[in-house]
Amino acid sequence: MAALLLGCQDLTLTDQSYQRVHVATFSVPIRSLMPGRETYPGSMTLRVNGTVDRPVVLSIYQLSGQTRYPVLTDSLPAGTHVNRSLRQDFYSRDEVELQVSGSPATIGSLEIDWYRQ
Amino acid sequence: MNRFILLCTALLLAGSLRAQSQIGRNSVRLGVDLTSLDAPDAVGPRYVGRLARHFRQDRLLITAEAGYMRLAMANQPFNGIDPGVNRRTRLTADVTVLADLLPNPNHALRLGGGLSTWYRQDDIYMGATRVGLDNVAIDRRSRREVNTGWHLAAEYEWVFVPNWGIDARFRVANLSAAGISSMLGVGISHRF
Repeated sequence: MAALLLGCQDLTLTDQSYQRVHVATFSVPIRSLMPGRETYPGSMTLRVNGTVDRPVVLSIYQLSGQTRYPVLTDSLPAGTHVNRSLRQDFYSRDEVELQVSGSPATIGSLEIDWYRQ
Repeated sequence: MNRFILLCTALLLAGSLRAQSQIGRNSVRLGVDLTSLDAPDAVGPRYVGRLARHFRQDRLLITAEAGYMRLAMANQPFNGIDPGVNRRTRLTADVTVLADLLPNPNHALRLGGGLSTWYRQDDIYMGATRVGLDNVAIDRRSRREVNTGWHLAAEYEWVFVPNWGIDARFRVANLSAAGISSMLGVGISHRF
């Protein structure tokens, strides 16, 4: 039993990095990076809370060398969003980038949680 | 008169029998350990329950222990944005063998060691960066893991009335990826 326990590897059930982006000004497109990871994910998820008075576009890109591949794009309509969730299958270990674009005149703020798992 | 002598004798015998009653060979202990966690450094109370079997006139103990710990620690705001608290949970299970160094029925100084299996669930703030003018990206890490390892233990117990004792103890656990945790605690135990 002792040998069995001591010989055990740590058992990882989940290990995910995630990012919470607070956006208060939309004067220029906002870009936020999430570094690559060692293990392969299975999906990409975005969760949005907040209020905007104009539509805002959310995009996620996979950065592979000099190339940006779109992974997920969604347009948030004007209004209040509570736990609006977007999910996409995603299997790459590459670095990824979140881009938030809106009209410079947009008023409001968004809190965006995004992660791959 | 004979009856009175008989009654006194019976009472004396009863007292003598009570005085020589066996101390239980099992014990249950409840306690709290001030427990340190791996980086980012954190210390908090871990509530512990333990069952023990006593051997060789109380000089050797084999114990099984379970514990629970939950911490929520605030972080400094970054550019006025709260990055959220660090939430850390531990469910612990330990099996320990302890040997008593003092040949005294009311005092015990025990040293020992054993195996540990701890479950950890962490949601931790890793850092933040400014994005553009007034925007902030907060990096966090969420992890659930089962870690195994070993521990060393030292404890002092005072049996203040038959079958009841209080103790203080120090422990160090090495839990591989979860690092080294040290624990300083007190508890009360009952033998049965």
